[in-house]
Amino acid sequence: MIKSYKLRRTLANTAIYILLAILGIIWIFPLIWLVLHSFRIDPNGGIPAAEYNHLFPSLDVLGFDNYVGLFTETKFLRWFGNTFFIAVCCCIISTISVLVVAYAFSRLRFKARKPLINVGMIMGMFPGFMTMIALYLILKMMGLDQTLVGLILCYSAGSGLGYLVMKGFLDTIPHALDEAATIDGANKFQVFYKIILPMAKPMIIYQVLTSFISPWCDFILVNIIMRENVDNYTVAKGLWSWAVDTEYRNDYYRYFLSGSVVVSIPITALFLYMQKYYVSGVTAGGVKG
Amino acid sequence: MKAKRILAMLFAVLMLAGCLTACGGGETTTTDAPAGNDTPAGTTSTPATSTFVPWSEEDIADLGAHIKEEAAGNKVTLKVWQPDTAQDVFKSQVADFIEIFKDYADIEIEVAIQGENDVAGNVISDKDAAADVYGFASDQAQRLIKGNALAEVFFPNEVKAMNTADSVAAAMNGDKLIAYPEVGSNSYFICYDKRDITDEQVKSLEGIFEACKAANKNFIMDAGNGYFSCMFLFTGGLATDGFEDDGETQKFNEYDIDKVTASATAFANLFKTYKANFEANGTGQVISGFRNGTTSAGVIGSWDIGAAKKALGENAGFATLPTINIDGVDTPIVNMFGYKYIGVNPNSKFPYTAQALAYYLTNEECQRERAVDPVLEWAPSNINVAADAEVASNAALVASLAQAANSVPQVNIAQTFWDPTAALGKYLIESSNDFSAANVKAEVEKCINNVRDM
Repeated sequence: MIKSYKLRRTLANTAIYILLAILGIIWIFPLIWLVLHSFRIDPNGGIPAAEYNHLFPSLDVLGFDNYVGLFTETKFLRWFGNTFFIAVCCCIISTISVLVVAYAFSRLRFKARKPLINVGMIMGMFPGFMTMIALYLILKMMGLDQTLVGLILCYSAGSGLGYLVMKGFLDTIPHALDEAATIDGANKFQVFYKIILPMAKPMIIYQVLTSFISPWCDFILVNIIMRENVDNYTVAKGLWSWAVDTEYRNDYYRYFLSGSVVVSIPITALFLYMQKYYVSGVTAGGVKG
Repeated sequence: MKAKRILAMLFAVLMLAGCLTACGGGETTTTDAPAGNDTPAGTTSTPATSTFVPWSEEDIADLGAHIKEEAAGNKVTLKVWQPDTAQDVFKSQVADFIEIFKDYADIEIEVAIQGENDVAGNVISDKDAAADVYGFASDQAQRLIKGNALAEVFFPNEVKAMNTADSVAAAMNGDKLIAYPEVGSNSYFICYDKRDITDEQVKSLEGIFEACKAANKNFIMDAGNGYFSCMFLFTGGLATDGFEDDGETQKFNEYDIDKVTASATAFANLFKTYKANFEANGTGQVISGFRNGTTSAGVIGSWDIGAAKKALGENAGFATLPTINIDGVDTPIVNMFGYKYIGVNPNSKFPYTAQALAYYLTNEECQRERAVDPVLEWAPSNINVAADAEVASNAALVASLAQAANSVPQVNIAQTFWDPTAALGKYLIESSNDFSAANVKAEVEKCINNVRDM
C-alpha cells in the first residue's frame, strides 16, 4: 500500500491517461488510416483493395492523384452535387416544419393537441426503414422513383414528427414574453417570428445540423429508390458501389478512400461554423433570461 | 449583416447545385426515324464504321415486320443493363441495332450501369422498373428463374446453332431456353508467372508447388470459398445434378464416396506438404502477389484476366487447372464452370424488340467485339468466334474456355451449396488436422449432408 496521497494520485492518473490514450488511438486510427491511404498512389493507376494491407503507406508513394482523379475521372462531383442539393433542401424543409410543429404544440391550445402529440410520439417509434418498400412503390406510382425530388420528399416529409426536443425547448421560454408581445399588438405569427425564433437560435442550429447530416449519411433509402440510376446517386451509394462491386473494387478503391475524406469536409465545416452560433446562442439566452 | 451575406451565399450555392443536378439525365442512343420513313433525321452521330448486319435482308424484313407491328407507330423504348466497364461497347452495339431497324420503328435504347453482383436482386425487387434486357452471370440464374424474371427465348434454334452446347445446356430450364449465351466462360483457371514455372510444370499441381518452392514464392487459391473448394469434391467424381422433386434440395450424381474422399485427402495432403508455399486467399490477392513478386501462380477468375496481364506483363501465363495425383493416378482437377447470359425481362413492354435486341447483342460479331476488346476480353460462347484466330491466340481466353472440358456446369445449384463446401475447404487447408481416410470421409459426408440440408 502506497502511503503518499500525491504518489497514489499520480499513479492513478497515469494509469487512467494511458488507458484513455490507448482508447483514443484505437478510436482515431481508422480515420488516420483512411486519410493516409487516400494519398497513396501507384504508377499503374488502380491499387486492388487487397493491397491495402499496411498500417502506414510508405512515404514515396504519396500524392494528390487520387483527389484529382476523383473529380476529373469519376462521377463523384455529380454525386456530391446531388447530396449537397438534397441535404440543403431537407435541411431547410425539415427545420421549418419542426419549428412550426413545435411552436403549435407548445404555444397554441386546440382540441386535437393532446391526441396529435400522442400520435406523433407513437409514429416516431417506428423506424423509418420499415416503410421503405411502401415508400418506393408510392414514389413509383407518382413517377418520382429514381429522382432527387423523391428522395427529398422521403427525407423531409415526416420530419415534423421530430418536434419533441424542440417543443421541450420552446416550453422553457416564458409565456410572459408572448403575452407582452400580444399586448403590443403582435399576432401569433409575429410572436413566433419576432420573439420565439431569435430565442430558439441554439435549438435551430441543432436542428439544422442534424437534418443536414441525416441525408448526407443515409444509404438505405438511396439504395432502394435510385436503383441503377447512377447519375442520381448520392455519395453514400456511389462510394459503396466502389468499395463492394467486384467491377470497381480494384481500380476504384483509391477513389473510395479519397471520396470518403472529401465527404467529411462539408459536415465538418458546417459544424465548426455553426458551433460558434450554438455557443453564443446559449450564453446570450442565459444572460438575458 | 453577416447572416444575410451567409444566407445569400447559401442560396447561390443552392442554385448552382440545382443547375448541376438538373441537367443531364440518362444517356440514350436514338435515331429519330419514324416508322416507314426512308429519310432518317438525326443519324449523323452514327459512327463512320459500317454497321455489321448479322442477318440476311429477309431476316431483317421478317424481324422488322414484327418490331413494326409491336411498335404500332409508337416510340419503342428499351433499357439495357450492363456493368460499367462494358458500357462503351454496348452503347455502340445498341446504336448499330437501332440503325438496322430504323426503317421499321423509332427505337430508343438506354444502356444503364448495373454491377454484376446483384442483377437478380435488382430485377426481382421491381420487374417493371428493371431493364428490358440485362446481362447476368450463372450465379444469378437460379434466383432469376425462381423470381420468374426470365422470358423464354424467341429464337431457340438459332441460338442453339450459334453457341456451344454447354453454354446452351446451362441456360435450359426444363425444355425451355431462358437466356441468350453471352460469355462462354465465367469460371476460374490458373495464372502463373512464366519466370518461375515452366509450361510443363504447370500441368500438375505437384509441379506448380515444386516450382513455387524452388522460387520461394506462393501458390494462392481461395480454398475457403465454396465456389473454389467444390473442386476438391468434383475432382473425385461428385457432381451436382439439379434438384430433387421438391425443387430445392440439391441432387448429386451417382458418386463413389471413397473416390471423393481420396480426392479431398490428396488435396489436403498436398496443401500440408507445401504449407510454406500455399496461401488460401481471394483472386484479388493473387493479382497483388504477382504485383509485389510474392506469388508464382494462383487460381484466378475470368474477370481477373486484364488485371493479371497488367500485373505480370509478358510473363503472364494462363493454363487450365492442373492434374493432381490421387493414389498414383494423375487426375485432372474438375471445377465449377459458369457462363454469362443476356436475359429478357418478361414484363418488358416491347417483348419482341427486346428479344431481337438480346439476340443481336449475343450474335457472332458482337461477341467477337467483346472478346477482342482489350478491356473486356469476354470469352465467346459463339462457336465461330472461339475458333477465331485472334481469340485462339489469346492464351487467357483459351485456358478459360478449355476448362469447360473438366467441369461441372454452374446450373441448378442450391443456395445451401456454398457454406458447407466452404467449411470443407477450410477443414482441408488447416494443416494441423489429421487427414486420415476416416476423418476426411466423415467431413465429406457431413458436407454433402449439409448441402442437402438433412
